[in-house]
Amino acid sequence: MFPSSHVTMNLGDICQARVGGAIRADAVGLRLVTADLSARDYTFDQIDGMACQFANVLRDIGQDRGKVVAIFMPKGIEVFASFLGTLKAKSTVLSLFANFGDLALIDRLADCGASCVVTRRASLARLERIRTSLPALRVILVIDSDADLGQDVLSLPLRMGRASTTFQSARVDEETPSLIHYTSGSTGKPKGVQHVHGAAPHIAHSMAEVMQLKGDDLYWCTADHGWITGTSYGIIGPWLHGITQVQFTGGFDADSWFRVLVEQKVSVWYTAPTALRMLARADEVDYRSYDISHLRSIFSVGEPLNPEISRWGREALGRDIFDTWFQTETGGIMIANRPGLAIRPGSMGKPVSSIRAAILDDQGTPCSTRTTGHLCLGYPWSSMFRDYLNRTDTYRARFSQGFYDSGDLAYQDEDGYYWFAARNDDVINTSGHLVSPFEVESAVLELPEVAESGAVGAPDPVLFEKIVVFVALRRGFEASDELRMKIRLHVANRLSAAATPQEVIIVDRIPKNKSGKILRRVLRARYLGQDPGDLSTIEDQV
Amino acid sequence: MKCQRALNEVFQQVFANPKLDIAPDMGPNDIDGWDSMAHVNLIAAVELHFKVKFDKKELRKIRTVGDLGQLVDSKLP
Repeated sequence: MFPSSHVTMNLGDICQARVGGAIRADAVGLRLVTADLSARDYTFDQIDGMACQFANVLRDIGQDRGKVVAIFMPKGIEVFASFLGTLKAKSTVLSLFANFGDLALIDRLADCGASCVVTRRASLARLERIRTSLPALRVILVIDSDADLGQDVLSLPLRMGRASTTFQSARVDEETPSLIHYTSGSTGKPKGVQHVHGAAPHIAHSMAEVMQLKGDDLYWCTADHGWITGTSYGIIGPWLHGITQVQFTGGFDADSWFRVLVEQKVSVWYTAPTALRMLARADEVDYRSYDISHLRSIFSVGEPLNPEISRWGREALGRDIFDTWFQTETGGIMIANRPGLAIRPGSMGKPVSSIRAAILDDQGTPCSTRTTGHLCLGYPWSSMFRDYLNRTDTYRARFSQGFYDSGDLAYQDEDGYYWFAARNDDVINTSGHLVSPFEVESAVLELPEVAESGAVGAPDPVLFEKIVVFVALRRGFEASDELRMKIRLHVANRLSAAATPQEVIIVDRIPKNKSGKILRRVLRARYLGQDPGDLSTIEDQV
Repeated sequence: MKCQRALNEVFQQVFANPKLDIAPDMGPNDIDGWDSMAHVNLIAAVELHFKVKFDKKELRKIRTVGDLGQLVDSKLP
């Protein structure tokens, strides 16, 4: 699939000034805005210097060259320094959401054999709880302790302070592993999606074509670095172009987010439909009273942008919102709306110029216009994933006849616009996070009160889809609000807050087929008050 | 905070940390897992435990454990 491999730029060096390059050493590369809306600027030179210090630390503790370094902390300058520094040292970054629970952490850290975790003191208790399940873990670097906390729990500031701000980055080729993100499927554990240093050309090209950035732009990507958007377009993309980016370290709050946009004079904003829907519902904020004349373009990603929000963007903000589509596996934007292309509200837009997209039927034959089929992409492109870690057979199964099957169902209209129809599996897309129903069900089953569980996604006006979990209790236990809350919190703590079931419905039995497979379509139909369809395979009528 | 002891139990349950010992000046940076999504769970758990309801205006003012505790105190008989 990737026959040739050439020496390429180490992605860890993207903030390094080069003759004729996009980076000016003394230009601001990053403006970090904290929850109280105070801002601190970092020049490209400073960012690169900190990345070099981190790379030196990794080398000193034997975590360079071929190791997996997990970044497990909320957004802050250490995220960027450790991300770039790990790449400079030719180790692989595992980028994690800071709110991952015990089970989610074990599944990811153990699967990829992470030997180093960079985190904060507040998360140490969580890591210690699961440490026995992580035999490959050798060292924890703590970002907010000035002294070592144990033989293998080391102070990062202490070591960074002693480390040189120069580092000769390791030589890499296009196929050298760079980054792992995990993604969920309908069944089984999350899959480790492997990316490479050679991803830069497509990320840079897609960013230029879709976002059309200019040298003096101030760009804000709101995605967390645990998400592919947060790394491809919240770290790599803007800096490949030498663009100054804003990052906000506070949580979501409509007023704060809008003040960041206004006070920092953001010109290009990349965010998620859920955030836009929450802004649209924040009726206490009069958006028209703010001066956003500097805001040239708004883009969104993560789930389909509903036409109502497109209309809200035009009415409340006076701006079009350009929806984009890609996946963890694609590593970069594949299909998008963008300035210069007339928007059809609700459409995914058209493929990026270097991407060949097609709607194929089950046999791999192109579907006719407006016929829903599998959304497929002709390969290769530089940012596409190179493997599912430890599951190469599953990886290979995604490719056939020159196309990668995205797992999404879509159709194309007569003018070449693509329209999302549905997922081709049971994966739940809740506020842009793909959540496996299997993982939710497994977490719920850990509770002693629960005999059976089934999780499905249901439409939600803010989250796009919400997680609804059906639970059958063991004999002797009764439904109560307290038990429902216990189930919600257990899932949140074992997986992540994003995976919290919004509804817990107690039932007598979970419908299964004769081989014991949970019939989620029946649960979904029951929840939505729809016809469940063919019930002939059901184990017992419920 | 009159409710501190009971509130501590709710925090321990919400953030799955039986050793958690809250203090009024603690905020999201001090408690592992307290982000905007977990905050929704925290509020729901507090409302259920204390049998109280918060409106949007009250929720916007919560920045620390102390803010939340004072709000709960103000609603308890």
